[in-house]
Amino acid sequence: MNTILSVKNLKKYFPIKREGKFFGVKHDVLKAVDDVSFDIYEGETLGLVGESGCGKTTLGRTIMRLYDPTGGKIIFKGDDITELDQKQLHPYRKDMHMIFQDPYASLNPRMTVSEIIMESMINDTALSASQRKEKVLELLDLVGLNSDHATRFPHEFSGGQRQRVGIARSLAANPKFIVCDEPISALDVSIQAQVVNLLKDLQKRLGLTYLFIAHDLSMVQYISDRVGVMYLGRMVELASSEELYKSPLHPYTTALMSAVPVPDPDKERQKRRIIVEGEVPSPINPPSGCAFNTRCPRATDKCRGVAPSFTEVTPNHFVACHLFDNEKKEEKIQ
Amino acid sequence: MTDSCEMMEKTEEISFKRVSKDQKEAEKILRPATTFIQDAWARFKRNKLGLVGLIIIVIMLIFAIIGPMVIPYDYRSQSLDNAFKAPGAEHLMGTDNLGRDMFVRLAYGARISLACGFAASLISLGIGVIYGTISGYAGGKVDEIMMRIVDIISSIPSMLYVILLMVVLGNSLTNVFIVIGVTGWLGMARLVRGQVLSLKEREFVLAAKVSNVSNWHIMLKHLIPNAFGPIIVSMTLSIPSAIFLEASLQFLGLGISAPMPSWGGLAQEGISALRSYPYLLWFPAIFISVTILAFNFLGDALRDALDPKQN
Repeated sequence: MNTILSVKNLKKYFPIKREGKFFGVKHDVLKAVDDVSFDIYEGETLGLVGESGCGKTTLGRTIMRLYDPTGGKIIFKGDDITELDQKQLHPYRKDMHMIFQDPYASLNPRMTVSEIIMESMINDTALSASQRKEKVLELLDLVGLNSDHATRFPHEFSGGQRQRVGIARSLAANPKFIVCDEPISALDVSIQAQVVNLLKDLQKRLGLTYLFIAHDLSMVQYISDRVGVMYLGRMVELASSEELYKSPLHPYTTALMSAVPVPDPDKERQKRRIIVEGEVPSPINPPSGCAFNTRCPRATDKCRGVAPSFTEVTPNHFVACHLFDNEKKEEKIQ
Repeated sequence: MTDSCEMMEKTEEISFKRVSKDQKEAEKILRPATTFIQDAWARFKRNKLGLVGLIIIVIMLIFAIIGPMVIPYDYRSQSLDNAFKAPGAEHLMGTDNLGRDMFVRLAYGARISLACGFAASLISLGIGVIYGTISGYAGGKVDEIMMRIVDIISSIPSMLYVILLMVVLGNSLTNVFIVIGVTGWLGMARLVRGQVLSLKEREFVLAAKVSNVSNWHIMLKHLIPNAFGPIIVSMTLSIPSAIFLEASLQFLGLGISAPMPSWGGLAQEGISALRSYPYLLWFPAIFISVTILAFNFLGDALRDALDPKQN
C-alpha cells in the first residue's frame, strides 16, 4: 500500500489575546492540534472521530494548509508541503480538495451551481469553456443531480442537494485525496445515508482517498477502513475500524464505543455504558501528562506527570496510554 | 429490505400508489429559476414607501434631464422687467431678483445636485470598496495600519478639509464631485472591511482557496458580491448626504460659480429675500428635502430587499 499522505507530529496552536495589565497584551495558546501523527494509504478511508472542539476540523484544515501549522510535518505524495507558500502549493492542491461541514455556508449564494463547480477547473485543469460546461453536467449526473440544476442558485436546493453540489465541486479537478470535514453532520439521517453511500460509490469508481471527519461513530465505522480517535487535540487511538469497534484499548475509546446505540432494544438494555465523569478540560490550559487523566477511571500518578507516547501495541493498532506501556502486562479492558 | 418491500406491496393494495422510482425525477425543482436581482425586486415591490421613494427619484431624474429642454426659458438670461414675479401661469415657480425663471433654474439645479449626489457617492464607493476589501482580506498588520489611517482622517472635521480642498482646487463642478467623493469614503471602507472580515472565514471562501483560485478572484467573485447588499444600501444613503454637502458648500459660496444654479445656491439666494418673496426659498428647500427623503426611503427599502433572509 502506498502512503498518499503522512502527518508527523503535527501541531497547530492558536494565539489567544488576553488583556494585559495596562499596556501590552498577554498571549495564551490554544492547542487545537497537538502532536498528531498518522499515515493515510492510497484508496482507503481514514475516519477521524472525537467530541466537538477536539481539533478534528482544525486538523483537516491544517492538512489542506488552510492554516499554517505550528510544528510538525505534512508529507503529501512524498513531498513535504509544510513550509510551502500559497503559490508553491498549487501543484499539490490540484490533487486534494475538501468537502465542508455546513452545506448552507459552503456554497457562495451569489454564484450558480455551475459557476461553483467550475471554480476549481479554472486553474487546475486545461479545459476550454465548453469542455468545462460538459464536465459540470457530467459531475452533476455523477452525484445524482440533473442538468437543469446547473443554472440554479444554492438557496433553491435542500441541504442534501447542496451537499451533493459540494461533493461535485470537490471532484471537479479530479483530485486523489479529499478531506471530508463532517460532510453529513448538518444533514438529517435519511439524507446522511444517501450522501455516505454516494461517497463510498465515488471512492470505488474514481479511486479516491478520504480523510473522513465525523462525530457519528456508527457512520464512521460504516465508511472507514481505519479509524483514529482524537481527544483534546491529540490522537489517542488508531486502528482498523473492525478492531477499534470490537476491542478498543484506550479508556476514552472504550467509553465512546459504549455510547454507540445498538438498534436492538434487548441488547441495548443489557449493554453497560461507561459514563465518563466531568467535562472536557479547556484546550488553552490542557492538563499535564495524559490529556485524559482528569476523567480517566484508571488514571495513575504516572498519567498525571508524563504524556504517553503514541505506540503500536498490536500490529496496526496504535494507542497513547500508559496502561499499554509494557505489552506483556497488557490486558484488555472491557 | 424484503420486509419493507412486502409491506409496500400490501399498502399499495389498500390505498397508496407506488411513487415512481426515478431518482432524477425526485430531484426536480419546480420553482422557476430566479436570479438574485429578480428575488430582490419581488421583495422590493412589497415595500410601498420604498416604491414612493423610487418614483420620486425617477420623476426628479426626468425633471433634471428633460426639464431644461421643455421649459421655454433660459437659466441665465436676465430680464429685470420680470423680476420677482410671483408663481403663476407664465412662470410656474416665479422669477428671481434678475427676472430668471425659477422653474428652469430648479431643473438645472436638479441636474447639478443629482449628478453631484451620484458622482460623489460613486467615487466614495470605488475608493471605499477597494480600500476596505484589501484591508479586510489582507488582515493582520496591513489591516491595522490601513484602519489607523482611516481613523486619523476621520478625526479631522470633514468640513475643514472640504473647504481647504475647494480653495486649493478652485470652484468647478468636477472639483465638487471629487472633494465630496474623496472625503466620503471612510464610512464605506469601514463597512466593507467589516463585511469582508466575516465573509473571508466562511466555508465557501475556504473552498475557493482550496480550488487554487487567485486572491483577486476571491475578492471579486466571493467577497464583494456577498457584501453587495450593505454596500448598495450605504451608497443610496450616502447620496442625500452628498447632495446636502453640495448644498452647504454652495451656501458657503464654495460650490460651482454663478450663474449656473444648484439647489443649495438657489436656497442661499432665496434667503436674502425671505421676507418679501418667500417662494424663492421654499421651492429649492422643498426640492432638497423631498429628494433626500426619497433616497432615505429607497435606501431603507433596499436594505430589506437585498437581504435574502427576509424571504
